[in-house]
Amino acid sequence: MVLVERKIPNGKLVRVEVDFTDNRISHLKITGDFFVHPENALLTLEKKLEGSNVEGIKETVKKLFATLNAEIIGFSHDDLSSIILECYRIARGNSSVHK
Amino acid sequence: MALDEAVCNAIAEGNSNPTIRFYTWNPSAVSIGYFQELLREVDIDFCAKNGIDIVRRRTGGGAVYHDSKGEITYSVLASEDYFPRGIIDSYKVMCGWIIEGLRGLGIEAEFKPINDIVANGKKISGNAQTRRNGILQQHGTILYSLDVDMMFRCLKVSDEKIRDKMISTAKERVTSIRDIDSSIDFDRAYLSILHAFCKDKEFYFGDFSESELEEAKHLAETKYSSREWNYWR
Repeated sequence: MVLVERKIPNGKLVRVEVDFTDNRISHLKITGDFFVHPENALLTLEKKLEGSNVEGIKETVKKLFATLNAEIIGFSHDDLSSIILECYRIARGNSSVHK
Repeated sequence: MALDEAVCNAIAEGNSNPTIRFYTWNPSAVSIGYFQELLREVDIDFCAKNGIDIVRRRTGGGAVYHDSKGEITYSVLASEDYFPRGIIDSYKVMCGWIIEGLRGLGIEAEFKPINDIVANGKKISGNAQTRRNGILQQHGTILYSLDVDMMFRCLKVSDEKIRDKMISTAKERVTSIRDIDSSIDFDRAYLSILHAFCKDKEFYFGDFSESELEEAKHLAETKYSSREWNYWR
């Protein structure tokens, strides 16, 4: 499990825990002091990201945000995908993945 | 927490009117945001030893230390039809009432998105909102007096070495009514805030109904004091 915590400028603190199997997300948990309306959309987001390939994660997260029918206040889709990629870099122990 | 949810449910069922509620915390307590991980945010051993309650809110936002004598806490519970659809816009409306109440005390303050109110550039009020079943619940605190040391002992600090620095930083960033004007007593502060919340509204002072209290008791026992709820993240 890799954990990355980031205070988003003009946003909130986001803490993301991820497990990867090869280059796919096998488990993901997002915690922090942000807001999600409606709240249960966060679990939907986590579930839908499980199984996603890290390659193309930026587009995946962006599409998910657009179809989630929820308002997330405190972090953007770019913030989340950037944190996931940082987790992946740490998990792989190298810095070859682009942000 | 339980009473807020019980009243929201009663409003959704058409059994209660829109409600504004003021309360204090006894004993002092820590509340955490709906999406926060309790064990990472709160020093549960310190809280247990010092008789400080811990509860998860059903609103997002951060962990808050609620001193039993240090703050005025409110909840606004009403159909979301009364408020702007935009979350931040609706924060602005209710935070406007707080700002007006503070102005009545001679304190100039302003709304700072996402969900804070600042006076002299320092946070004096934090607020959080949820909307479920068509009912909006916004609750928040207005700091009356401040115990930053206690606040930081209840809450976890990621690095113990920087605890002192964080305390001094917090003292620079957070303020309270008494910090600004030590002559303002609690009742005067409360009445000014109350007056601003009631202004331009048709209202009556009332008690909670038997069924609201009964459901609140049930929710307090089965949900808000449960491990399942408080540790869900």
